[in-house]
Amino acid sequence: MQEELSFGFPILSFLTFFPLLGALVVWGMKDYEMVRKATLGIAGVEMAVAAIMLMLFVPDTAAMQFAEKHEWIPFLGISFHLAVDGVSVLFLGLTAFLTVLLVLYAWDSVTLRPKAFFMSILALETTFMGIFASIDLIVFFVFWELMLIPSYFMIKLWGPGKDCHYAALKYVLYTLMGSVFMLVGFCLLSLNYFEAKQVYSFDFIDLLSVPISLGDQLLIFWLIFLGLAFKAPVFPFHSWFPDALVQGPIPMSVMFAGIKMGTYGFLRFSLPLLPDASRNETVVAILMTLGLAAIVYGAIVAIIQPDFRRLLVFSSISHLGFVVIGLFALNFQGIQGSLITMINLGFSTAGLFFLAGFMYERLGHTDVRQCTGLAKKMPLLATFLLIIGMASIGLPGTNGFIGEFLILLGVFQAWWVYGAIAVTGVIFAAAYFLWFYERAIFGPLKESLPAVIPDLNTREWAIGVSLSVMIFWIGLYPSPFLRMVNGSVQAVVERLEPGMATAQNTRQDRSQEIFRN
Amino acid sequence: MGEYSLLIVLFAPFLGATALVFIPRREELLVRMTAAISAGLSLLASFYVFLAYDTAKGGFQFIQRFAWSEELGIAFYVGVDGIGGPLVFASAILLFAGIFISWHIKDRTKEFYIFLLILAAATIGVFMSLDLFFLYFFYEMSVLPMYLLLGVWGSHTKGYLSMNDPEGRKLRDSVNFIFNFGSNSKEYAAMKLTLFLSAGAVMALMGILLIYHMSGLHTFDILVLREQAKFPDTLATIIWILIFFGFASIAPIWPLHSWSPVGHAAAPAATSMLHAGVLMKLGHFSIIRVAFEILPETTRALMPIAAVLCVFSIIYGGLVSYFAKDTKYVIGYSSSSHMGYIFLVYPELSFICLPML
Repeated sequence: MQEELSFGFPILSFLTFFPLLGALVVWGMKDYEMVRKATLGIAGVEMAVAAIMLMLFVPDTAAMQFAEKHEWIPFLGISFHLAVDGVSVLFLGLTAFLTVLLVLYAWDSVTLRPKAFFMSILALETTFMGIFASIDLIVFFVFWELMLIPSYFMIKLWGPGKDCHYAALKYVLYTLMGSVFMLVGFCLLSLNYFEAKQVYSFDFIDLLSVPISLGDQLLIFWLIFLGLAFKAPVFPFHSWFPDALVQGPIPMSVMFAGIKMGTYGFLRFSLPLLPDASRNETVVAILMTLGLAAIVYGAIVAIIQPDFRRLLVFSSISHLGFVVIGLFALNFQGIQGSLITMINLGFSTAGLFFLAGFMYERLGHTDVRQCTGLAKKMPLLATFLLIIGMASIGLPGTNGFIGEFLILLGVFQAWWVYGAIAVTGVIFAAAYFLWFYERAIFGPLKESLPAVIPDLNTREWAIGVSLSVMIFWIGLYPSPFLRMVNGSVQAVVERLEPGMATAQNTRQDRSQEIFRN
Repeated sequence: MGEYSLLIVLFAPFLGATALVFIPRREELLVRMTAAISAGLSLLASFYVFLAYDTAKGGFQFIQRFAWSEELGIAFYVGVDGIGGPLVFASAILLFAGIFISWHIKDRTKEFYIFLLILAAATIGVFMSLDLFFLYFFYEMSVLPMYLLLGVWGSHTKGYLSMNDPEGRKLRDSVNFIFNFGSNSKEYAAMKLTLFLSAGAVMALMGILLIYHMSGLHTFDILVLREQAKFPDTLATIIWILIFFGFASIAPIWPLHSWSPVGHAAAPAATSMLHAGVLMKLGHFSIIRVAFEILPETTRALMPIAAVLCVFSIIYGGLVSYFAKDTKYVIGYSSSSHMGYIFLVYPELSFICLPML
């Protein structure tokens, strides 16, 4: 049974609902200047609160912290239960951090319905916070589905591409198709709990305490897998991803590429709740194969993309393959590496999307055949592109290296053959990014480029600097981040050991029986 | 003061590179002076290390150790012995000379010096690492800047300008361009170098991870692994082959040498210098440090393989450089031929041969 620490102030409810309240306040405002200042203020306060929460978070423990629980639908066992542990706490900080940067990014660049756009960003933040903070499956699912609303409209209304309507619809349909199966999986989990305890519960902590037969576990695992795999997206469920990220607006791409909800779901629910299924040889082999296929496929497709945003999309699919194989190495280093890599992608891949956005605003496209030699015109952009790009390909000294190294270490301990295939991704990553960089930034200056291209302004410079700081911080001194996740990762690994989950359960059942007697 | 000299040797170029980022590119003299001063500092400190190294005492000296990750057993652990010390000194000399030899570079001076300093500092880092993690860390770091140094400041070899596709366009943006063996472009050279060296690096990484995992000691510390790590024969052979061929790709040994002549021909002069002078030795040094010290018995058993490959390297490299017309090709092939000699002395594994490095 996981220990829960509560906290006097409902900090997680605040983090979840403050942006939504903010969005309502912004709604009432008329003046554009006030709207964006208010949005920045709200995102800033949110960020500050998230930072305070990270500081108060007790590292090196598996306990659920800042827990709060309110009855919601008692007869179905659904409660509004929020808590964070090492698995989820960093995601809250990352979401708050990226939202501030998004508001800064959208400061001048959104001309069409700016108020609605800022409201969408805040609403999106609420749903993301809810996804990461809730440990009741139904509450999680509600936020998971709510997220579709702001993101659908952001892609549809503010997407710069011609096909943004198609992309928005495709995204929603794909995600919904997956999440229906996920909901069935959640219900089966609850039914299983009902058989054991004669009450319904969707609470993650409760569900951990009942054993599930292997057959059921496998069924539930694949149902939940479908929901998460579409969202993540795990190869071969990725086909909505290039459309949504290339046709949609940059802030949406940043959120999708930077915040890995799908793989978070595996680590949050699949591994601890269904340890026997996750350990099952067939499951591991399939997941490993999908991960490796994603790494190689994504990297090879990325090499030949002339468009920078498409290149980033496929590199993101390739990186996600690393996360998947790290998770299903099922050992401490692998899972820790995956978790850190998920956070890293929020700085590196998301950062590259920001830079793609800066290029797009100035040139109207990001096609490398049409823009070469940008270093002459935009030296600052070239510098940040190098720093963040190097983090993305895992240059030692940046955060990407730490994540990749831990994942490879974990995979090697588990199955070194898989590791041997995975390392090819490291080689390809260097190939596609360096080749792109050399052409776009250093190549001979293209005549068709506008004569004057302004370099980054202060606002954009601030985005680049804050991302670079985080990249070097995690790259050179990762201990604070690793310590935050250690306890929970250890708990997950312990549950995955053969017989561990059932042993815990029986011990607990016995103690409860004693208590009843 | 003295005991920190290795840190000065290592971090002076890094700090120089960081400082360069903040210097405006207009100030060309300041850019060059910053690079020169940081390289000079590094050179002075390495000269001190070279002189003050106590040959009578031997072993590892100037040791600095900072724990970096307790649970993984990684420490930032540097020190030089009789093999590392001279190589650190040599790298610092070549860095200092490289800065002055590229004094005339007008095109993006600042970026050139940043990459050059990072490349040299990473090389120096490999020569003083006593921790496998950081050895790989610096090794990988020295590979990636090479791509940009070649791709941006390099020169095309002959025949490049006449290369067009059927429609008369330059083939710059097609994938064939970098994977086409006949293209002779600097991009081709740079990409070939990066792919060969990163493939080598990840092979070596696999070996390192196997050592870490299979030794069961949960440490990357070379000195501890050297004393205590024991592997079964088959495993030791696999590890040895991974480490040997991984690092040998940068050495370069036949048949993994083919990036080297084109790389030499395309690289700017300072990079060529660093390359022939110290980068190739990264391979030999890492093989000695990792394969020889941790797996001595396997090394003895498998050395005939290496010897045969070396003889190939020597003869092949020599013949090709005899017939090559481009001076840089001659240097490229002849240095890969010379590198073969260094490998050839390994099989002897005798005391007298190693100093030939």
